[in-house]
Amino acid sequence: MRKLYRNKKGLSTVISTILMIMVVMVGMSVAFAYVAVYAQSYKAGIGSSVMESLTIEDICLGSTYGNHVTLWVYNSGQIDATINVVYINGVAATNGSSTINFNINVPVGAHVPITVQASSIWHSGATYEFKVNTVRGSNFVESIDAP
Amino acid sequence: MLKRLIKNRKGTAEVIGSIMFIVILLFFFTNVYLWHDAATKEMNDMYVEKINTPITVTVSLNAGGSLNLNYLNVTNKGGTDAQLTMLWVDLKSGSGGPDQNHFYYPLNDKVPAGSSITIPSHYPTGETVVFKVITTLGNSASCTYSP
Repeated sequence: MRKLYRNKKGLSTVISTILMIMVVMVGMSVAFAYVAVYAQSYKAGIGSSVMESLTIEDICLGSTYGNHVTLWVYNSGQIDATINVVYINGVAATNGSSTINFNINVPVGAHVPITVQASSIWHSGATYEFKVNTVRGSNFVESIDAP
Repeated sequence: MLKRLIKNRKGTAEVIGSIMFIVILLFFFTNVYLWHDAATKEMNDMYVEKINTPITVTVSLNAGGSLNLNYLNVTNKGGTDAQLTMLWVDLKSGSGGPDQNHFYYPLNDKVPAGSSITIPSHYPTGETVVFKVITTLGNSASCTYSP
């Protein structure tokens, strides 16, 4: 046993082999984990955008013209959607404060109201295009002529 | 030459390891591709069904041909049954200003392909209104009534 410890012949070969195995194992584990996480996040994230379908079923500019509007959104898709931004004629609307990110969850089959504030007041006879954008990147558009 | 190549076992582990790694990668990417393909097919089927369930809405008529404002006729003009989910009754302003109010009434009625059904209109007497019906697939139809 003592002789075995003292004999240093071939030591570098053993260490290098162990090191090589460790490096390969760590490298492969990292690559494997990356692919697994990528597959999962793609399925849960942007990959699921094909299953989103929202319908803007009602747009209510309110009984007195201001710059508020209530949009009713119906989820006719196969997956819950989260509304991120609402655009009015290409300009991001706010929720009354300075934020433009709404983060409103719309479950499958649910009818959800969203009250947003435009940058200017409504004008009778003007056409307004409302675009609802989800966190997965889908867009759903509806237009109305203000009465 | 070939015999020597086969007998030489050097580097066999690397080759087997690489092949296994590629197989694992292929498994993950195939999994993602097949999932995406199935999701797209499912949504395509939904869109085909949506195209096949166009509906129309009209104010109901009495036996004598006069208007019956208490009911609406919903007709499915497609080849697939339509499921109704919501009725919107939008009160218009008599003077051409902004809408006075938007009311909604959940529906749970099925309109068989090519047939009509009658639903309560919730008509507020004496008002100019827009009736709008929404289906579970996101189709909509509307009609306006002015007294």
